[in-house]
Amino acid sequence: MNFGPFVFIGVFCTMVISWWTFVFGPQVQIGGMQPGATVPAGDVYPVYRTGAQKRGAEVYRANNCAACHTQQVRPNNLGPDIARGWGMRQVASDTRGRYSVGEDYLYDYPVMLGTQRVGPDLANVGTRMDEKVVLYHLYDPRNKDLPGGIPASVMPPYPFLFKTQKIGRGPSPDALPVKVEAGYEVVPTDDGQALAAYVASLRQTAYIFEVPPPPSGKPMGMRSTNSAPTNTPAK
Amino acid sequence: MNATSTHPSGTRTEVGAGAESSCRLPLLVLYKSALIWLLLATVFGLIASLKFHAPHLLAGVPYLTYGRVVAVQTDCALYGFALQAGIAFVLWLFVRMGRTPVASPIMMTIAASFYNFAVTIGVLGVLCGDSTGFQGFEFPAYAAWMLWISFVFMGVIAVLTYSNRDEQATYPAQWFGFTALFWFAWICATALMLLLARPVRGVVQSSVNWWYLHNLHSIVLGFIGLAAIFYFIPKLIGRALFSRQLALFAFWTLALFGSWGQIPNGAPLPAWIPAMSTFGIVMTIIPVIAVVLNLWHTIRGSHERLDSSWPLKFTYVGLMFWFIGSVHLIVGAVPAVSSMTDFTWFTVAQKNLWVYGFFTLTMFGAMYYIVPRVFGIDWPNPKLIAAHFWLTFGGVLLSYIALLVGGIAEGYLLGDTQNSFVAVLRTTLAAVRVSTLGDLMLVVGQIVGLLNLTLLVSRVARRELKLS
Repeated sequence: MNFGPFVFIGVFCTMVISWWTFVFGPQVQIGGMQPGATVPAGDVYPVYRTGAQKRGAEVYRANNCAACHTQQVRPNNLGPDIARGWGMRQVASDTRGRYSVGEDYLYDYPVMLGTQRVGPDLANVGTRMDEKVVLYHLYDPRNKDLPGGIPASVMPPYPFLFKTQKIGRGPSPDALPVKVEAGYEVVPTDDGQALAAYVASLRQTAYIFEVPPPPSGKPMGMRSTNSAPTNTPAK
Repeated sequence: MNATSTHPSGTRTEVGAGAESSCRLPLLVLYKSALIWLLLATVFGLIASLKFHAPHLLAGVPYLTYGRVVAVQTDCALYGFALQAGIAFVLWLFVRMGRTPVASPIMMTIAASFYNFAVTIGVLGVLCGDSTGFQGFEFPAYAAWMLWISFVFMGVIAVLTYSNRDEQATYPAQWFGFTALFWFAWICATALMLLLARPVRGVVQSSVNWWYLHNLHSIVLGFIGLAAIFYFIPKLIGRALFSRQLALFAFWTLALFGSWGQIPNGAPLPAWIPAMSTFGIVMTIIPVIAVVLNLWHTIRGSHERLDSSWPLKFTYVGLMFWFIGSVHLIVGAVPAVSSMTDFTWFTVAQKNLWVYGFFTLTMFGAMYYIVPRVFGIDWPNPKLIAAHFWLTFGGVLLSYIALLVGGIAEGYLLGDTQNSFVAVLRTTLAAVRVSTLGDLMLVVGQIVGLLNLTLLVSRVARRELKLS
């Protein structure tokens, strides 16, 4: 007997069940997600990234930084992320919490959550490093003379994000505090600058409906998202 | 009846085996390019691995940052090698079991050439920084569409070959092969539409990406590999499959549960999505047991025959790796374990075992059986087959054990916040360095494999010249 058509229909049905569950279902539930409001301030969350930050995200994508760095903080019961200081939201009333939520990635394309941590999680790296420190880290991650340098790190340097140029009338304000040939300085390229702007903008600190502030009202001592000058809504 | 000869390597050769000779040209292109892509994948893997020994290595070359090299490694292995070797095997399977020639060998060859062109463009695109940023789906849109179209062309020709069959009854191996082709066309179309053409919003992208990647591994590669296992093990051992019903049961339960995406348990998605994903993966324990029982009963009492031929050895070891890889996936999906092992080398170990262990070995088993039959010529040097087997098997096993132990240690140590992240990472570097040795063995193994195929092809060319 020729079972061909039956096999085909059966396979098609199993395929549809899987597709329905992991593609269509999520799309129906959160595909149309709209920006929320921070609690209690009521500001819009999330906000668009600035032009430089968006360009930085492209550099992040092109070099596949997500191969080593995740951008997702797991709830307490599913990993030690919060205990390691990667999560910045404290939800005292709910031991599980949800520390990275869909809203955090609403305007990202592509969303680069990552699946391996050769380096630390970057979901809140903006609360730990500013643009300058990110640049030092990209230039020479193991240089302990630079702020943020970690001698034991396995992160490679990214020399192509920097250029050595002759010092003009005065040193460039962007110049890195590293010694090169006399009369020359190291400055980030546009790509380097943009990447640093993007990385320093990564922070998931706002309290929203899904992750409300702790009852005491006192956040974990971190800056609130909307106070950052680089993160104001696009008007 | 065709004249037959038994080569010392144990591969039976039937000279000029009728319909099968219609596969010559397509299989030549598919196998030759698949092996070249696999060699490239292992070379990129070795470069990535070496960067852990010397982070400065090639750091000044933007095309070869660790991230890009790792992405290209995955893409060369999945699209360059796995799908091509897979479609070559499935095509031959349809020809062989249906006793019918390939529907259009010329069109198949042209489609295969286009496919390789697409993979080349995709790999160059990723190296130049044009990656999409979606894991395992890095090829830029211009290459990905081309890849999909040429794959569908090849798939259609394979399906036409299947429907032209003389032998109406179908067997589990054909079901697995047929489903894999159909499945890839669908999941790739979904990913193209929802990630590249009209991207969905926010984290739905991640859900689609994970679903795609999991289906590519578990269903597409998994089913093609199982097709080879279900075909070759009973055939080469000389016994009928223990139970056709059990095979079909495994087929349907795997298609149902094996396709439920491998979403990390802590992912920032509504909780039911990772929960369903975990449930599906854990449920695959049923088909895994069914497959193992079925083949165990098939092999039982004939274990000494496993040593009788290289194709059988490759396939049998592939089956063992399939079992280990499946159990690894199931254990790693349980929240109690995943809270420790997610994002560590543990998950990388599973993916490497699946692609380079299970899939690669079963496909080599198939290749070592098919190619001499189709071309009517024996493998020039059986010692090269042995070297290929031991280097690939040893390399995969070494790399797997190192990364498995390293991953568990990493997860365990990270759980204690007294240990700094960098300190934990340095501890696990020992494991990564051992795995580099495995990667090196893999590279050498693939050079040997490619050399063997090249020698065979040049013999065929010489024979054809003599005949003409």
